[in-house]
Amino acid sequence: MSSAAEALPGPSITTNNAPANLDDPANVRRWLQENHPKQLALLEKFQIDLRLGRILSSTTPSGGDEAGSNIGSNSSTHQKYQYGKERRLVTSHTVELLRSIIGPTRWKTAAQLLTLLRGLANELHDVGGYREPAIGNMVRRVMFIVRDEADNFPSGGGGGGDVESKNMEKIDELSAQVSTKLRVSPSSTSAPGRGKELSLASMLWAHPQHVTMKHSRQQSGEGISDMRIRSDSFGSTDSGAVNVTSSNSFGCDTAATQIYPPHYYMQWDKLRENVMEAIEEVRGELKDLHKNINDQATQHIHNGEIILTYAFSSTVEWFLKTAAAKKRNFQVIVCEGAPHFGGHAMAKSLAEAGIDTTVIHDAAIFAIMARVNKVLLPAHAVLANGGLVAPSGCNIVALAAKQNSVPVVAVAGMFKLCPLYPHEGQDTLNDLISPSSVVDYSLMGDPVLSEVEFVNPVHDYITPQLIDLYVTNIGGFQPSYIYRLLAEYYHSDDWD
Amino acid sequence: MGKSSGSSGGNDPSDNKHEQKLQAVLLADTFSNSFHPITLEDYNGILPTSSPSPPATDGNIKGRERPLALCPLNNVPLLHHTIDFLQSAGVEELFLLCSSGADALEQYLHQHKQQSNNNKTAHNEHRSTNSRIAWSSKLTIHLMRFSDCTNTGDALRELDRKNVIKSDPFILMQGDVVTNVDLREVMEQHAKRKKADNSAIMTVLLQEVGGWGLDDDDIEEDDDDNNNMTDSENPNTPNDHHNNRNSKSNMMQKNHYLPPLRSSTDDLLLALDPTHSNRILLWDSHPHNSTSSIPTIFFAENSSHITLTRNYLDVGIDICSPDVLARFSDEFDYRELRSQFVANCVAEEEIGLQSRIFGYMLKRGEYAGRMGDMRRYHRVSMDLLRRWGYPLVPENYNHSCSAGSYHEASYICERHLVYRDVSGGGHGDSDGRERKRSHVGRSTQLSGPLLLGSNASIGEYCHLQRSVLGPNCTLMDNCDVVDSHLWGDVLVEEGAKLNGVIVCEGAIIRSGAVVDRGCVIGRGCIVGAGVHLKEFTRITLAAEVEDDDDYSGFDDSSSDDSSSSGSESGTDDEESSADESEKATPQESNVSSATEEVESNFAVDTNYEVVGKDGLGRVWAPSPSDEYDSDDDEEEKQAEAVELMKSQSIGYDMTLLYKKWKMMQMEDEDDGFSLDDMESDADDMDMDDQWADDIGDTNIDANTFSHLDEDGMQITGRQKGVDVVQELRDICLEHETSSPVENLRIELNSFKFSQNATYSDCCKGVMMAVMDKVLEGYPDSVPSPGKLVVSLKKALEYWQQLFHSICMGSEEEKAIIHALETLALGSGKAADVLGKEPAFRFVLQTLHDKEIVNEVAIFEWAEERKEEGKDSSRSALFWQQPTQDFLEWLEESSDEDSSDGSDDEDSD
Repeated sequence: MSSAAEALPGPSITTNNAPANLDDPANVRRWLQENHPKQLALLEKFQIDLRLGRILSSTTPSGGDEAGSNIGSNSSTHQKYQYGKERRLVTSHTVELLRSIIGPTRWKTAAQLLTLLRGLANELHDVGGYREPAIGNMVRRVMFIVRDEADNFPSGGGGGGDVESKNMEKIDELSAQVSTKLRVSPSSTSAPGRGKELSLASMLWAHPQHVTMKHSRQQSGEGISDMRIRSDSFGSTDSGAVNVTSSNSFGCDTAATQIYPPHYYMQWDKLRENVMEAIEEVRGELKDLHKNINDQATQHIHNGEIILTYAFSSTVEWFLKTAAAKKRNFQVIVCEGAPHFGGHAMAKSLAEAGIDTTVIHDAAIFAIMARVNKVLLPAHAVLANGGLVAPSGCNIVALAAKQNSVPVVAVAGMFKLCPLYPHEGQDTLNDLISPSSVVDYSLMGDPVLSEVEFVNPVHDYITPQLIDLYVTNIGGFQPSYIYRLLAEYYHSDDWD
Repeated sequence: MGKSSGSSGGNDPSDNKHEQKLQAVLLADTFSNSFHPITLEDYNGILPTSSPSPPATDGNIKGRERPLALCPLNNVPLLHHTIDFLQSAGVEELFLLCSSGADALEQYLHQHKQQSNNNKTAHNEHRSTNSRIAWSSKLTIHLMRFSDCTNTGDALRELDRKNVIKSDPFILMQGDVVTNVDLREVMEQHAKRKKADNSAIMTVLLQEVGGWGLDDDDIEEDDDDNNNMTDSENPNTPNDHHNNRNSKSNMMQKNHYLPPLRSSTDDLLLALDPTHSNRILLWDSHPHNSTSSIPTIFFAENSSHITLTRNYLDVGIDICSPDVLARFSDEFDYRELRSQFVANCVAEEEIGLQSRIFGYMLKRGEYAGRMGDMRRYHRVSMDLLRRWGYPLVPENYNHSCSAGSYHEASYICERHLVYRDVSGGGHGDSDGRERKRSHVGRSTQLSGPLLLGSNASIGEYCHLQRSVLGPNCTLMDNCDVVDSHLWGDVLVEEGAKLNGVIVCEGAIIRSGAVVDRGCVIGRGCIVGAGVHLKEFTRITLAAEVEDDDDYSGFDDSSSDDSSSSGSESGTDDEESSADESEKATPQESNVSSATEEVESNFAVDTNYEVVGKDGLGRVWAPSPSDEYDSDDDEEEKQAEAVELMKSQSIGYDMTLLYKKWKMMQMEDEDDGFSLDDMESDADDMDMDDQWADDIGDTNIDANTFSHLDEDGMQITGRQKGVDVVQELRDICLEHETSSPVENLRIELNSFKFSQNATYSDCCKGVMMAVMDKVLEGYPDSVPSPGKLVVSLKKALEYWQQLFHSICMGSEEEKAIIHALETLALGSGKAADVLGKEPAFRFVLQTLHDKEIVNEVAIFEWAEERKEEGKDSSRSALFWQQPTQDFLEWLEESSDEDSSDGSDDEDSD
C-alpha cells in the first residue's frame, strides 16, 4: 500500500519541471514519451492514419470514391483492409491500440489508468476521432470496464476497515495537495479557472458518482443539473454499499481534489489482469458482432418481401446474405448512393449471393417506396436520443418510408452507440469531404465555376421518429430505448 | 502483472514494412525568388511580434531569412503540412536540405520540439548533433545546410557526398508541395518495378490539371506515329505585347481558361507509355519554343501506343532510388532536377544506359498543389479551404502557429466554408460556440472560403471573402478584405480595403488605406492612412540583398544595380514617382533612401511617398534574372522581371498570360517569322476589334492587303501586316534572270512554307513580277498593247518553266488572272498599260498560248465575273469588248483542238 502513495500525483505545479505523471489527461503524451516510447509510436502511427483517413470507413470515403466502384483493386494497397469492413476494423484497431498501450505500460492505479485512457481519447479525438465516433466509443467502453473492475476492489476485495483507514491516511495526504492540484489540473482541460468550488448541494449528494459527476461537468463547462438527474436515474452500474459509506465519510474532501472515487487510487495487482481480460471480452464481442446481428436476420426478413437499402454497408450486406442463405426468398432494391455509388458494389455483391437485386438511382426512391416492404439502413453512429447518423442520402429514404408507412430498420453494432445528443441537427457528426467526387478538379480553372461552392457531406442525421427499429448485436431495440443502453455500456462520467 | 497479455499483441500496427528506415529528402529551398521579399525578411523566431518591431538591423541576416517552409499556409507553417504528409507515408528519417534560412529553420525546429514536448526529454539526444531533431517518436529530422548551393543539382550532389541516403526507395520532395496523396501505393509500385528492372530509378508524381488551354484536337494531331514532331523553332520574345492580336480572337471563341495550379512559366510536354505503367519517354519543360523529339527506338521497343500530353502537372514529389543521387554526381553540370536530369534521363536511347522514369497519376480525390508563387499560394489555400485536399482540412490541423509560438487551435467549419477557431469553447458544446475566441461583428458579411484564426476580431460592416486571417488579427469597422492573407497580429484600421494582398505578421494597415491586388506587405510594415497602394507593390522592411551568394537564387552576378544600391544610391525622386504612377515601380528601390534618411531609425529606409507619411517600409522591386546572358539592356530585363513578379502575384489576370501564350502558340504553328512592327498605337482591345473585323467582313478599307480580302480569302496562320504576295513579288524582282529559274523556284517554295502561303499566292506574285519586269523595258513611255505582248512573250520564255512548276491547277491559273486584274485596276504604270482596251485581252491570250493559263481557268474566271454583274468595278476588264470577243472565240474553239486554233485568231 505504501507504494500506492508514491504513485500518486506529485505536487507538480509547473508541469515542465517535474517528470510527467498520470495525473492529468493532458500529460499522457509526455508520460508515454518518457516511459513508453514504443507505445507512443503506436499511438502516433494510429493518429496519423486516422488523421489522413487511412483507416477507411465505409461512410467516410476519403479514398472511397474509387473504392466504391471496384472493391478488389483497393484492397491490395490499403493494407489488408477490405472495403466495407472498415468500420469494424477501425473499432477493433482501436481496441488493439488500447490493449497494447495499457497492457505493458506502468500505470498503477485505476485512477491513473482512467486518466491515461482519457488522455488517449483526447489525443485521438484531436486528430480526427470525431469523424469516427466508434473510436471514442471504444475508449469509453474500456473506461467503463476499468471502473467496473475497480469498483469491485474495495468492496468485493473485502479490505474492510483496514483498507478504509489506509484510505483515510491517503486522503489526508491528498487534501494537502488540494491547493496545488487545483492549479494544475484545470490547466490541462480547456476551460481554465472555471467552477472548481463545490456547492452545498453537491456536498449533499454524497454518492460518489454524483459528486464526481458534478465535478467533471463543471470542468468541461457543461450544464449540470440535467445530467446529474439522468445519471441518478440509471446509476445501476455503480458500486455497492461500502462505497457509499466510505465516500460519505470523506466525500467532501476527495471530491474537490479527485476526479475518481478514492478507492480508484489504490493499487491493486489484479486490476491489470482483470482489465485485460475484460478488453479481451470486448474484442470477442466485436469479432462475433456480425454473427450476432445476422442471427436475427430471419426474424426481420421474410419470404417475398421487397427490401430497400441504401448505398454500401457491410453490415447490411451480410444481414441480407445471411437471410438469403437461410432460404429466404426476397427482392432487394439498392439505391446507388451518389456520388460515391456504393450501391453499385452492394448490388454486385448481393447478386453474386443469388439475391434478386435491382439498382435504382437516388431520385427514384420516393417513387418506388410504395412497393417496398421494409427499409434497411446502415449506420455510422447511433445517437443518445435514438437518432441515426447514416450515409448522406438516407434521410430521403427514411422520409419516403415514413410517408408510405414502410418500416425502417437500422442495422448497427453496439459499438456505434454514441453518448451524444444531436444538438446540431444535420451537422451532428457530419463531415464535408473533398468535392472531387462531385466535380472534377480540372474544371476549377474556370473562374466562374471555381466560385461555386461544392458541398459534399458524408452523413445524414435521421431523427428517431423516422426509425422503427434498431437491430444490434444484442438484439432489436426501439429508438426510445437507446438511452437505456447507454447506461449499460458507458459510465456517465465518460460521456464527454 | 498482466505482462503476458501485453506482449502478445501480434499485429502491431507499426510493424515495419521496410527494414531500412524510409527516408525522405525535402528540398526546403525552392531556389526561386517568387516569394521575395517575404523570404528575405528576418525570421524572428518565436517571439510574438505584437508590436511591429523592425528586424535586427545588423545588416547581415544571412541564414535567418524566413524560408518558404515557415510561411504559414492557412495559419499552419508549410513545413507542418509537408512533415505531416511525409509522416503519414511512413517516413522515419527526413533530410531537410536548406540553404537560405537554415538558421531560422533550425531555430524553429528546436522550438517546436521543445514546445511539443514541454521540453525535458530527448534534449540530450539532439544537443549532441545540432542538426538532428527528433520531431516525433517516429520521425527524425536531419537539417542539412548547404549554404553555398544555388540550385537543386548542387544540393543533391552534396547530399550524395554525405552518403546518408540508404533507403530504397526514398522520397524526394519539393518544399512547396501540399498534398494528400497516399504515397504508399506509389512506393509499392515503384518497388515492384525496381525489382523487375534495376534501371527503373524514379517515379514522378503527376497531376492532371489540363494544359495551357490546348484543346484536345491539337494534342491528338501530334499523337501520331511519326516520331518527330516539329512544333517549330521559334525564338520569339514572350513579352512582346503586340503579339496579342492574333491570339485573343481565338480565345474568345473557345473560352479557354488556364489551369490555376500551373505557374506562369510552367508548361510541360510529356510522352508516356501507358502500356508500360506510364513510363515517361519525353519530358520537355519548354515545349513552346523548341522542337521536341522522341527517339524512334522507343516506338520499336515500346510497342503500340505512346501518349503525348500536355495535361499533366509535375507535383514535385518523386520516389527515387539512391541511384538518382549517384547520377547527379556523375553529371556534375546538372542544375535542375526536372528540366535537365529527368529530361535527359528519359531521352537516353541506349538501352544499357537507360534510367527509366515512370509517372504516377494522381487519382480522383487526391490533390496536390504547389505554392511556387503567391498566385498559387492563394489558390492552394483556397482549394484547401474548399476541402479539395480532404482530409487536409482546417478541422484537422492540430496546431496553429502565431509567429512561432504554439497553441492549439481547433477550427470548425460553418456554413459556406467559414472556418473559425473554437479553441476557447468546449467541443461539441453548443454553448461553447458563443464564447469562441474570434469575434465577428454582427453586421459583418462573411462569404466564401474564409479562415478566421484564433483571437481574430472583426468589427462592424466589414466584408470578408476568400481570405485567411491569422491569429490575433484585428479588423476594425468597415474593412474590405478580399482574396487576402493576413498572417497574424495584423491590424487593419477603419475603412481599409485589401484586395488580393498578403500581409505578413505584425503589419498595420492604417485607416482608409486601399491596397490593390498583388501587393505584399512585409513583416512589420505600416501602410499609412488614406494611402492607395498601387497594384503589385511589395513593401518590406528587409534590407536590400547585398549582392553576393547571400540569397541563393539565380542572381549570382552583381550586375543588377537595383539590388546593390541599398543605402547610397538614390538621387532622383521624380523618377520614382513617375515610375510608380505607371506601374509597380521597377526601379524604385534605387531611390529608396535619399530624402528620408533623416528619420530612418531603421536600417531600411521608408518610401514615404508610397506608404504614406505614417507608413513604414520600402518598396521592393525584383531584380532581373541573369540566368541568360542576353544582351538585352537592363531596362528590358527589369521590365521582364517585374512582369514575372506580377504574374506570380495574387490577382494577376491570367488571361493576359494566356493571350501571350496563345500568341506564341500561333506563331509556332506558322513557323518562325520575325514580326513586322504593327501600328504602335493599337492596344490590345483595339487590335482585337480590328482583327475581328478583318475576319468578319471582307469588303474592307483599302489597305495594303485588300486584294486578299477581295478574293474572299483569309489566310490563317499568317502574321498580319505581311503582304505575302508583295513579298513574293519582291523576291522575284530581286532574282537575277541570269541564274536558272530553278533557284527562284526553291526560294519561293521556302517562303511559301514559312508563311503558310498557297501556290496561288506564288502565282500572283510571280505574275506581278513578270509584268513589272516587262514594263521595266519601257522606262519612259507607255507601251502599246502590241509591243507589250511581244515583250511579254519574250519574258515568258524564261518564266514559263516557273509557272509550270507552281501552277497546280485552275485555282492557281485563276490567281494569275486575278493578279493581272489587280495590276490593271490598281494605279501606276501597269494599270495604264493593262487598262487600255485590248491589252488585257492580248495578255490573256498570250498566257493562254503559252499554256500558262488554260481555258478552264479562264472560263471559271469569266463565270465569277459574270455573276458579279456589270456594276462591279472588278469586273470592268471582263466586260471589255475585246475580252468578250476572246472568250466567245475561246468557247467555240474549246470543242476543237484549241491550242492550234488559237494561233490563227488574231486581234480584232
